[in-house]
Parts: sequence; structure tokens; C-alpha cells
Amino acid sequence: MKQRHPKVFFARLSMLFVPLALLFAACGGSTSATTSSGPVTLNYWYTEGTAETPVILQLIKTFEQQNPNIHIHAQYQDFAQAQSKFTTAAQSNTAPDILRSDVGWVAQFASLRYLLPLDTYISQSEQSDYLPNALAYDKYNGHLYGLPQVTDFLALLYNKTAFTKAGISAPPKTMSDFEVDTQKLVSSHASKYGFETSGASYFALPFLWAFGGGMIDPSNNILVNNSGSVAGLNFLLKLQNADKVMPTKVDFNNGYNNMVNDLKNGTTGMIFDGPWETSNILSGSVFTDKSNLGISGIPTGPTGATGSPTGGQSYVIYAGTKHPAEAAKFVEFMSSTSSQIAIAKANNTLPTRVSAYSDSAVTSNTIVSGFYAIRNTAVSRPVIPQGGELFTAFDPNIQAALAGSKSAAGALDAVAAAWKTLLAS
Amino acid sequence: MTAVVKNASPSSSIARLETRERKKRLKVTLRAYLWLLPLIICLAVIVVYPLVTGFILSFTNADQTNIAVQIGSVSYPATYKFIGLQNYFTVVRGWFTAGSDEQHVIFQTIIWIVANSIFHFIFGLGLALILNRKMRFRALYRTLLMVPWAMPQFVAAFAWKFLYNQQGGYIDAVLQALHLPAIGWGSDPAWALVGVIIVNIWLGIPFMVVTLLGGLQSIPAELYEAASIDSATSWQRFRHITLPMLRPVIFLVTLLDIIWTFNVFAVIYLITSGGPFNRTHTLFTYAWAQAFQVPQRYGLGGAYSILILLILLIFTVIYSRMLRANQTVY
Repeated sequence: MKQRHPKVFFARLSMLFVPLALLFAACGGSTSATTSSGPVTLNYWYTEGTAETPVILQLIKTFEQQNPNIHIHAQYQDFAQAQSKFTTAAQSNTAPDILRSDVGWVAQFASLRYLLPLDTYISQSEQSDYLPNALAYDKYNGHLYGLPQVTDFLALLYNKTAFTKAGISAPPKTMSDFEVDTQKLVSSHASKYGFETSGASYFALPFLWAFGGGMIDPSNNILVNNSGSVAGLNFLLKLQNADKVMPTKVDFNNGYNNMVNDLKNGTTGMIFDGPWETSNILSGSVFTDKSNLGISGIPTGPTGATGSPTGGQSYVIYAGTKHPAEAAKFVEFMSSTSSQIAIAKANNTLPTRVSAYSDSAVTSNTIVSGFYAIRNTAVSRPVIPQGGELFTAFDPNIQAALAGSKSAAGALDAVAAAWKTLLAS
Repeated sequence: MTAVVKNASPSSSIARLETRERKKRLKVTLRAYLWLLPLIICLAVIVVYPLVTGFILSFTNADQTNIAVQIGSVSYPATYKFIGLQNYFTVVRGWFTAGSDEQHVIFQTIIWIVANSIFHFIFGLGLALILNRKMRFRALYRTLLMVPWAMPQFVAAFAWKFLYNQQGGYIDAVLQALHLPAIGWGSDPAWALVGVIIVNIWLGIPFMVVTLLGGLQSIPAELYEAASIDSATSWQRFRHITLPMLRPVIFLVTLLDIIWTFNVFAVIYLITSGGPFNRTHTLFTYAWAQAFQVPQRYGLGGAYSILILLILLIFTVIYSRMLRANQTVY
């Protein structure tokens, strides 16, 4: 009979446990023990760019000082991926407590039951202080699911020095003036390009609206391929292909950044963009004198119509949050009048509360008042759960039209067909 | 001491020897499997479970609206329905619809794989042959060659994206300085595809060089000496000694390269995001877009994955038959 040597015995025992120990170590995730009493930690995902973030972090610090038992863990998320990331996280109960959501996503998140209704936390009198158009984006099925942080729409941003050099005395009011002005800018060499667009459908929408087209009307009729929309897109293509006042072809990999950078360094004279980018634009080399940035409404089309898509950002709370009361408190603080005034002052963005507009700091901000003065040009986008998905078919077809691969009518017909299937689902 | 064993006959003692042998082998095998257990469980969780789940979901209409979700303390059950092979029909029908995105994706995938594999192999073999000679600074060249491989893919992708920028990127700036027409890396679908192919070729050469260099160095030098005694030209040496001796290595490395090229995601997504109007999507990245971009159609994504798996499996079988790599050369 073999004698069991102790060494051999322990060797065999370790051989049993080491693999299993490695396995459990690999499988073990981080489980943070949450104490029922004591400081509450809330996760907050924000999507503000580098230029816009400092005031947000400052406000968070102020909130933590006023509420010592609440700690906010703020995390930056890239705007382009925030919608998918939040969806994936929400399905597995790993979503943040609060998210700064684009207004186009709120209806969809609410329809998927990811959001906490805020009716019980925000009183009616409180709600009446908000701009109705902005608040409408956060309502779904009769309940309130978010509080608007900022509202925005596209305006014509232009380089005043370039205008003077080209002999343009005032920003264009109509699309035909707009076309003439772009040609003046190029022929007088005031700037290399008269106008630049990013290639995304969002920034082509003003043309569609100005010529009598649209996206979807409130009764879910598709307007994107009607004669007005096609005329609008053809006008944009004319600027690029016939008048040659735009870059020969839009670089779709870098469209938005190129558009903004070219305005910043004087390569282009005009772009359509929103208030969120103004802090970045003002850091450009031609805007060392901040009054050089001109803001004007989108020019009107032949029938006098105009439009620019209304966007914005809202604070929403995840339905599965463990601390709804604290999250509601944070959201109320961040969208209070004083917070909105602070954000408007620092980022040149538009507040969503009527009371914020009576503050002198806001009204004296040239950028904010510049945008506010032309708010009548803003058109709300359809507030439907599929609102964010509309651009999945819209963007590639606008790109195809700009690249010359499809005609304007063909591209918009393809968009209409895709939206028909989308709305039917 | 001699053990007194009952029934001691030659046959039964041999049988006992065999049982003892079998038991020892069983012990060794069990111990081996115990050590392999963590790996098997990890593979099962990371590879087998998603594969099986994807396979099951491909027969349903699962998307983000009807899968089971866990929100806080409430868990909503799944409400997707079994729809049979409808997802597969949708995919295949798209492939045969003229001018559809799906059909373009198939052509783009074929161009992507063929261009990448051919140039990976040509550049890889060429550089390996050069580096196989004795030369000064050979170690330095070999180290420099590792840079594309060592660099994380996303770093390479962003660097090349910066070069490709049509307004300010260095490539177009140089072209314009030489009075040549600028290339539309971001606006022209054909050039966008060429652009991402160039980046992937650049990333894939080191692997080819390293593997082929190893294969070249295992060829005995006597063969070359014998050939030069018989006054064979260098081309004849290459064709009749190098290539046949390298054949098993070539088969393996090109098979791996084709499968890995098929599965490249970061390069395409980070540079063009699928390109101007979906013209730089490959089957792989397009499947990802269907599955994970809003509305996240998991059923359709699952169907794509199973179809991709079948394509790669069939290709592997055909390719190995084609090269008859199971026949060794010597």
C-alpha cells in the first residue's frame, strides 16, 4: 500500500483549490456595499463639451455643499454614444441615476419605461415657469419625465469683419440675399468659402423648412419629400455645386469639426450652428474681439417661411434609481433659476425658465439675447418615441445627395420610405 | 515482502496491471481537466453563451422594446415572439435587392477582404525576405516594424483620420502643394474605402512579417546551398524551395489574416463610422450597427452573426481543401 506523503497530499489539495480560486477571482465583480444611512452617492452622466463643462462642475460642487449627505459622481459621456450607452445600461439596471439627455431621446426613453415620472416632485406652479415648447419635449403620455436644462435652435453665425470686407452691410434676410452674400464673400476674397455645412441632416433642415418643406407634421404625415423640401435641398446643392461657395465636397468624417474650425479661423464666412458651440467659436483666432461674431435668423425662403430645428437638453432620472428623492432634489437644483442663469452666463446657452430671462446678466449677454431675439424661427421636431431614430435614415441620404450619388428628390424619397416603415412599427 | 495474492494467475495479473494503468491515466486526465476548468468556464461564458443566445434570438423579433429588462427593483419579462427564419430572409433578401445598402455591403466586404489579404501577404512576404538577409541595423528595422502592431488600433485610427482630413489634413495639403487634385477621403465613398483599407494594411503587415520570417528561418540553409551549386537563379530558388517549404505557414497565416480582416471593427468605425452613406461598412460592422444602434434589433443582429459564422466556417473548409495544407511537404 502506498504511503500518502504529506507533501503529495497538500500538492493535490492545492491543485484542487487553485483553479477554483482563480475562477472565483475572475468572476467576482465589484459590489459596493450600500449603507442604508449615511451619504448617498448619485451617478450623473453629462454630455457637455470641454468648453461648457466648468460651470456644470461648479454647480455640482455648490449642490454638494448645500446637501452634505448627497455626493454626486459626475461622469462625462460622448454625446454621439450617450443614447446607445444609456439604453444598454438601462436594460441591465446599471444606468446612472441622472442623465443629461437630448430632448429627442426623452420620448423614446419614456416609452421604454427607463425614466422616472417627475409629476410628484415638480409642482404645477414650478412647471409653469418653463418655456412651453421646451417642456413639451419632456412630456410623454400625459406625464412629465424630465426638466429642460437648455433650449437651442440653429441660427446664422457670421464673421462681421468678413462681411464688411465683402461690402455686405447687414446679414441676409432671405435665401436669395443669402446666395448673393455667399458669392460676394468668395469673390471679394473676404473668406475662402461663403458658407459651410456639416453634412448632417440636422444642419440641412433649415433649408427644407425655408422652402416650405418639413419633417413630419403633428398628424404623422411625412413632409420630408414634398416639393418644398426638395426645393430646399436643391438650393443647398446649388450653393455647393453650381455657385461653388462651399468646400467642393463635404468631408463626412470630420464635417462638424471642419465647419466650426473654419468659422473660427476665418476660412468660411457663415455657418448654421447653435448656442452650445459659441463658447468654443469665441476662442477662434478671428473672434478675439467677441463682438465680431454675428448672430442672425435663418433666412426666409420664397414664401417667407423659415425654420430651424429646436433642440435642447433635459435632466432625466432613471426609473430604477435607488434614491429618487435625492435625484429629484439634484435635478430641481440644476434647473433652478439661479443655476440656469449661471449656465447661461458661462456657456452663452439659452435658459428654459421664463424667470431666468428677467435677470440682467442673461439679457445683457449678447449671444443669449441674439439667439432669443430670433426664437420665432424655431420649429419643434416631432415628439414621438421614434424621434431620435429619424436621423438614422435621414443622415446617409443627405450625405448621398451632397456627394452627388443621389438626386435631392431621390434621396428625400428614400428617407420618406424609411420613415414610413419606422412610423408604422 | 512478497504479497500473497489469491488467484494469482498470469492473465489476471495482466488485467490488474491494465486496470491500474487505466486508473493512472484517468487520474492524469482528470487533473488536467481540473486545471483547464477555469479556461473552459471562461470560454463557455464569453464565447459559447453569447453564441447560443444570439442563435436563439435570431429566430425572434427581439429589440430594445421587448427584451427582458431590470429597472431598479422591477424586472419586466421579455415579450418578443418567435418568428422563425424571418430575420434570415430579411438579411438575404437585402443582399439580392439591387442598389440596397445590404448589397453594397457585400461588395464592400469582398473588396475589403481581397485587397487587405493580398497586400498583407505581398508586403509581408517581401519584407520578410528582405529582413531574412544579414544586414546592418536589422534588429532596428525589425523593432520599427512592430510599431503598427504594438499601437492600439484606435490610436492608429485617429492618427490616420487626422491625416485624411480634407481641410487641413497632411495628405491633401501635400497633394495641393504639388498641384495635384485633392483626394476626397471623407466625401468620396470609393476613396473612403481605399483609405480604411490602407490603414488596415498598415496595421496588419507586422503580423505577416513576423510569422513568415519565422517560417523562412526554419528552412534549412543546405537546400539553398545545394540549389546554388546546381546554378539555380534566385527566382527558381524562391519558387522551388522557399514557397513549397513555407506552404503550411502561408496557409495558416493567410487563413488567420482573412478571418481577422473580416472581423475588423475599430478601424472602420472610428475613421468613417461606416462611411459616407454606409459605403465603407463591411458585413461585420453593418451587423453591429443593426444590432446596437437604436433601435437595437437583437434578432436581426443574431441572424447576421450566425450567417457570418457560417460564411467563415464554409470558407475555412474550402480554403484548407484548396491549399491541401494537410499534406506536409517533407
